[in-house]
Amino acid sequence: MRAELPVPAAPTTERVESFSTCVILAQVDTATAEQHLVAINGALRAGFEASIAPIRDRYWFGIAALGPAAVLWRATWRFDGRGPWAAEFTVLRVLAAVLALVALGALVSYVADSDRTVVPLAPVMGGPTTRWLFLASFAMSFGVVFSMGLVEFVDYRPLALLSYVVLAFVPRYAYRRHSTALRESYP
Amino acid sequence: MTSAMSNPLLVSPTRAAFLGVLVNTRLVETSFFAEHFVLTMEETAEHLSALKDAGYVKERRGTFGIGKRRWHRITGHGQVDFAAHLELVISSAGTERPSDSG
Repeated sequence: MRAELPVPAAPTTERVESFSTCVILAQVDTATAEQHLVAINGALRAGFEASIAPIRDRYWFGIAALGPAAVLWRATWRFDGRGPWAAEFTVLRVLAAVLALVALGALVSYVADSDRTVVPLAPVMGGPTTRWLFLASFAMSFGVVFSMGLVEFVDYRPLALLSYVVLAFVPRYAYRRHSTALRESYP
Repeated sequence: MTSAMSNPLLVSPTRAAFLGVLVNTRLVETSFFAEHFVLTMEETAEHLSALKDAGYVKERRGTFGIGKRRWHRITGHGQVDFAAHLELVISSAGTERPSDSG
């Protein structure tokens, strides 16, 4: 990788403009073109591989606490904070706040400790996508937004647990399958 | 011909490869290039600076991770010229060296 191609000696602007084709084509003969291709192919692969590396588990398990925090906080909307439900109201609010802090702490730790050196291209920006990535994003939506809506119809306790399980495990699994699928389909 | 061909910057396979890394990603930190291409930070910064001066790469400073880190992304101009350069290299790899008539 360190090897450099012979650059034309001090190419002037005029020279480059006038002889652009012959100067560069003269340098890029078959052997050097192949050397270029090997370097570029390796670089394309390296960027691709680094961009699909999954998030570390310990952070993700903490960030997933956001799901039950949202469910518990939404559940308190049923109560007015007075009367026979006052104690439960307080417990739910406190628990939701603690879980939200855990999620926030995990997120901050992830950002602070991250040794990640490549940020992947999002699908909306032309990044690669698979059905597994769709499943991961659906699971994240379910874990937070849908669960909050379902609190109106379902007991919040199993729903909070379900939202955590869905958030903690489904996106991780789906993203790993997404990475594998992309790796296998890489030309 | 395209500007990539007329730009001696990409005659360096390392710089072309830098663009190859960037074209598949959103942001890449300086240390990734140094580590992957086995370069010193000074050499890496020099290559990136040349690409930045040519308008192929944009730099952004961020605090993702501990300390200030420098992130790089490829520009639209860089993508176009890299694609043209790749096309030239692919076609050259399968052809004989042109005669001096050029």
